[in-house]
Amino acid sequence: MRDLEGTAIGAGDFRLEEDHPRPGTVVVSVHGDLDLHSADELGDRLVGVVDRGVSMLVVDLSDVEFVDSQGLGALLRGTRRFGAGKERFRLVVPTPEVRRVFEITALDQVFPLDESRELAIARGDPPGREDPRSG
Amino acid sequence: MTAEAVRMRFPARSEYLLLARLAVAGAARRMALGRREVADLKLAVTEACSNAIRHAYAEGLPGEIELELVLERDRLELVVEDHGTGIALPLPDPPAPSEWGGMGFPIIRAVVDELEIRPSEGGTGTVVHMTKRARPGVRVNGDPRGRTSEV
Repeated sequence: MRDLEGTAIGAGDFRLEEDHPRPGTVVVSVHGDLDLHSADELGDRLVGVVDRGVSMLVVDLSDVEFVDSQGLGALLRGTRRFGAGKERFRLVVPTPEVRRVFEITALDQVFPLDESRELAIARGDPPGREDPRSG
Repeated sequence: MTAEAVRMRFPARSEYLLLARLAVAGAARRMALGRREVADLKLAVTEACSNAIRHAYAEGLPGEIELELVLERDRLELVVEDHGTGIALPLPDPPAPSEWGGMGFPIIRAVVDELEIRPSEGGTGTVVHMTKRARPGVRVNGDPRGRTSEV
């Protein structure tokens, strides 16, 4: 396998994008596989976003086909940094195969999972604009 | 039907996890498994290899992982072996999920039919042997005529 040294298999496939659909709300979109190779990058980004001060953070996994325990750990880092008001930390997980990892680990009871970015933003709306427990 | 085996060896580094997943997906395709079963197998092999990368060679020393895929008539076996520092057996009860890990083997147990963890025969190191059985009626081992074998 020496010929594969330095090829950085998969390293170029992972990337993060950040959107600000409205003041105080940040959406971090993950593209590529979320595993040991990429988890720290996501975890660091989420911690950085939270430390900047946000009222709502959405992590969009729509373009993720694979998540392992290290990826889950990165998400836990982010939500723990967020502290109180975890209903404002939401995950977009439309893919059944990815959602299954959350179900296996019972983390679907920890993270609010939504089918789409629009639903996540609507459900995480601050009280007064929309009750986050509705829908 | 004769078993087919694929063996590969790669550096114990995280950038090679995708390679392991691709190999498993290719083998699973020959068993005509469903998306969920393929996803389960990719998850299992990734967790086993990640565990070796994080713990067997935790001191940063270079190491390798050996992956063997055995396609039997009625099952796919995944064998991940490292030659690192070994693992304390038996494993403790599953710890509470934490951001730093601890969920790997519980996840593997949830997605495969059999899991055996044993010391490597060569002395140090660990073998993680996982078995996923095919569902009844699933074509196994790439029958070139595309027929379905009842198993």
